[in-house]
Parts: sequence; C-alpha cells; structure tokens
Amino acid sequence: MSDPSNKGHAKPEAPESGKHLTEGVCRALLNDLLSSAEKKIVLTHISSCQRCETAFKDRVAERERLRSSFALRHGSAGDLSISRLQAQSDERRSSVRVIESLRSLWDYMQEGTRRLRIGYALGAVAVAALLLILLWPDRDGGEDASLRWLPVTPGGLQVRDAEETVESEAVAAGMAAYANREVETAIDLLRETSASGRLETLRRIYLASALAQTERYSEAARLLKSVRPQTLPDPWGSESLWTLYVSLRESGQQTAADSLLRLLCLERGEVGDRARRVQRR
Amino acid sequence: MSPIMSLAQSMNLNWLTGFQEYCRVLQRPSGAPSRENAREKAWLLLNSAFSQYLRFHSSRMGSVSREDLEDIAADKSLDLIRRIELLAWEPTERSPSEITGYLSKVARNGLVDRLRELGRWVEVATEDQPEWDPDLTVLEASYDPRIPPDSPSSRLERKEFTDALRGCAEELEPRSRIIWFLRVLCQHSSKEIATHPQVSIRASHVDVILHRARQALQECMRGKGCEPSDMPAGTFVELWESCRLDDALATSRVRK
Repeated sequence: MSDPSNKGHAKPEAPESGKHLTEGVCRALLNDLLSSAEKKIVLTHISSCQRCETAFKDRVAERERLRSSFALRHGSAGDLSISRLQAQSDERRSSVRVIESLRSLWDYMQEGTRRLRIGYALGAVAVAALLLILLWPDRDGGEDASLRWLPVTPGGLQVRDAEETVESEAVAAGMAAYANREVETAIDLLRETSASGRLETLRRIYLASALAQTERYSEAARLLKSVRPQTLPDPWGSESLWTLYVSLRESGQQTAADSLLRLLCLERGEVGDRARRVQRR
Repeated sequence: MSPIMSLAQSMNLNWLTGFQEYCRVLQRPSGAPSRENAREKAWLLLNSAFSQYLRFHSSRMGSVSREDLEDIAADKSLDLIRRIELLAWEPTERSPSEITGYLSKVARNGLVDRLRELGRWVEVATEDQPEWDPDLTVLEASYDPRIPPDSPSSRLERKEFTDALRGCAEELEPRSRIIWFLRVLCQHSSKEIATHPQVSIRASHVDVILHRARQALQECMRGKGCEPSDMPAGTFVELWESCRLDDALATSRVRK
C-alpha cells in the first residue's frame, strides 16, 4: 500500500509480530550490548509499553535468579565447572533458638554476679566454664593487646516477656552473624534496629564489638560508654571493658585508655591477667 | 528497508555480535586479560539464549520443571564454553542464523534427554523434524521500536513518581536497595536473594533487611506525597537502572 505523503514509496510494513521487545533485544539490553542511542530507544519503549515492561521484568528476574543459583568455578587443574548455590541453612529455627537464648542470656547475666560467691559460685563457675569451653568462638590468637570476640550462647537463657518482635529478630540475626564472624552483616543488622531495656544493652555491646573488629574504634567506644560494661556479669562485662580499652587506645584517647587499663589490672581472671601483661611491657 | 527497521534488526543481533567478541577473547592464549570476565559474560548470554530456546521447545515437546530447565541451560552453557576454549566450536566464524540454529538444536537435545530420563519422551521414527529448527525470524521476532505516543499528563505523573521512588531508593544502603529490588520487583525468594553475588548473606538476614527497607521507603515516599503501591508503568526501568545490577559483572569473577 502506498502512502501519498511518501511520494510513491511503499510504506514499510509493520512486522507480523507487532511492535514489541524481542528476546534478542532484551538480551542485548540486559548484557549491556546496545549503544547509548539504541538503549535509549529501547528503554523509552519499555517505559511506555506495559507488555514489554512485563516481559523485561521477567527477563531481569530470570537473569538475577541465574546469578543467585549458579557459580562458575575454576578448579586447581584449570578445569571449569558450575555449582548450584544454596542459601545457608534455614536460619528460622536457629533464629528462634538464638531468640530463646537472648531471652535467657539476660537472666543469666543478671543472676550471675561479677564477684562469685563460694558454693553458688562454684556451680555457676562450672556452668560458665563449660559454656565458655563449648561455645566460645575461636580465639583470634592475636597478641594480648588485641580484641577478643564476645561469646554468643545458643542455648538456654530466657528474657522475661520477650516477644518475637522484629527488633528481637534483628538483634538475634545480628548476633548470629556476629557468631559466624560475618561482621559487616552483623553491623548492618544491629545498627539498623533499636530496642529497649535488656535487648538494647545486648545490641549495643555486640554492635560495639563488631565495630571494633572492623577498626571503627571511636564509634565502638561511644557505644560502650553508653552501656557501662562494668555493670555486666562476666565474661561480657570484662570483655566489653577490654573492647573499650582497645577502642580508646586505637582511637587516640590514650589517657582514658591508660586509666581503664590500670583498673583492669585490678581484675581477677583472664582480662585482669591480660591487662597486667600489657602493662608490664 | 526503512532505517528504523534496519536498526531493529541490528539490535536483535547485537547479543550475537557481543557473544562472538567474548568468544574471541576466550580463544586467546590462557592468561589473557579480561578472559574471566569474557567467560562469565559469554556464559550468561548462552544461558539466556538456551532458556529461551528451551521454553520454545518445551511448549512443543513436553514441559519440565523450571529447575530442570535451569539445570539444562546451565549445563549446556558450560559445555559450550569449554568447547569454545578448546576450539572445538568456533562461533566467531559462523553467521547469526548458524549460531542460533545450533543453540536451538543443543537446547532441544538437552530437553529430549531430560524428558527421556523422566519417562515422558515418546520416541519418533525419525529425528530432526524441520519444525524443530525454527529459524531466526521465528525465534527472534522483528522489533519495531516506533514508540506509541504518550500523553503529557501520564508522562509527568510517571516522572514525578519515578523520581521520588528513585530518590528514596538511593537513600538506602546499596545492599538493602538490591534486596528490596530483587524481592519487590523480581519476586525472588529470600533464599535466592541470599545467594545473589551482590548480597551474599543468610536468608533470615534478608528478611530483616527487607522489612527495614520497606519501612524506610514507605516513610520516604509518603513524605513526598506518594503511595508506594501506586507504581505506574515505567517505574521498573528506572529502578533497574538505579540498582545497576549489571555492574556486578564488572566486579564478580569466576569463583576459585
């Protein structure tokens, strides 16, 4: 059919398939294989065409799912293989366990005393020692003056009336990440939430520890000063004080660090021993 | 042929041109720079193509689960990458229709094998029926980029919303933004999001971060007088561009 306005030239026929995005164009767009001008044309069309936007969305989802599902791996012999990625084990159950442990952690921390008495103390020391032996994360093996990880106990402490709120879930997830040394994730999770009461204290000391592990010492020191670690039972109290000491020292607050070190030297136990070794140097 | 039509056809073949370029890099001596990047990009392109051809063939021969299709596409892509590197297959010397025809055949054979395993394949007297090898024009239907007219008011509404949402999304931490995008716009599960190379956290952490991201976006959008649920057409493209998911290819590498 000729178009009079075209001066006798035949008007181009619309393709049978219509005026929509093809798989090939979509593929080229997703893989950044179009020029700027071509990309602009295509994106402008997609923005105004619901059918193409839906198709494009499907392809984006498919591509990102592929990247989440498979990884190309290079073996030591230079051989190429693919592996199907799986999310780390369903954390729901372990999150619930950690929430339960949060609940009971506080009571344990409150019931235990920093200066243990004979009799009750012996039993509590045995329990604490057993927990520490079983559950303490691997030592970093560093020098005496370096940081230590706080313990995260996956079993048995109850916070009264704790609800499984989003805040407690976030704190639990943050502590689980901390326990796995996923420090940046722990910081993201613990920082993005806020809680109240006991939960907030736990959040702050673990967040401070994680921050110190990533050398954000000033922030760690500020957080720890706000919770008064000396009021917490061991090992959290003494180790948080140790974290505070390292954070003060590393953030240039030497006078405060020295003052705290002198106090720590008066402590019994591992932190006291560590402080005394540092001071002897 | 009008310039617009020829532009459409050339865009349709861009991915093949790109694929051939990556193959040239792969066929260089081992240790050549950007080889790993080329390998990953070629693998993604092949995967995408195989996925398309598998969908086409499974609509005619018998369907299998999405996971089976993904496995077939991934396996066949890897196999071809290996063959390219060993010079057992040289797509750099082939025409577009030869390449797509070959890929379609490989996809079809992979599907047949899987259907046989599942006991769903009915043997036929002769293989290679002509209709099983669709040519390029069937598989890659022509695209006419003539843009339908858009009313000024809808353009303005869309622009206001997308500007607001893009601004709010860009206030999120990069990982939170990507998690939100993959869940809300791509409908990925927490497990899928958790293993995405730009996320790489546990699935339960995804849920927590997503919850916070949604809250933050809702508050931000309401502050700008927009309801997040009223997403007009065109929003997806804007957000896809702002998330820069494809930038990950510049940083992710074949994992050792």
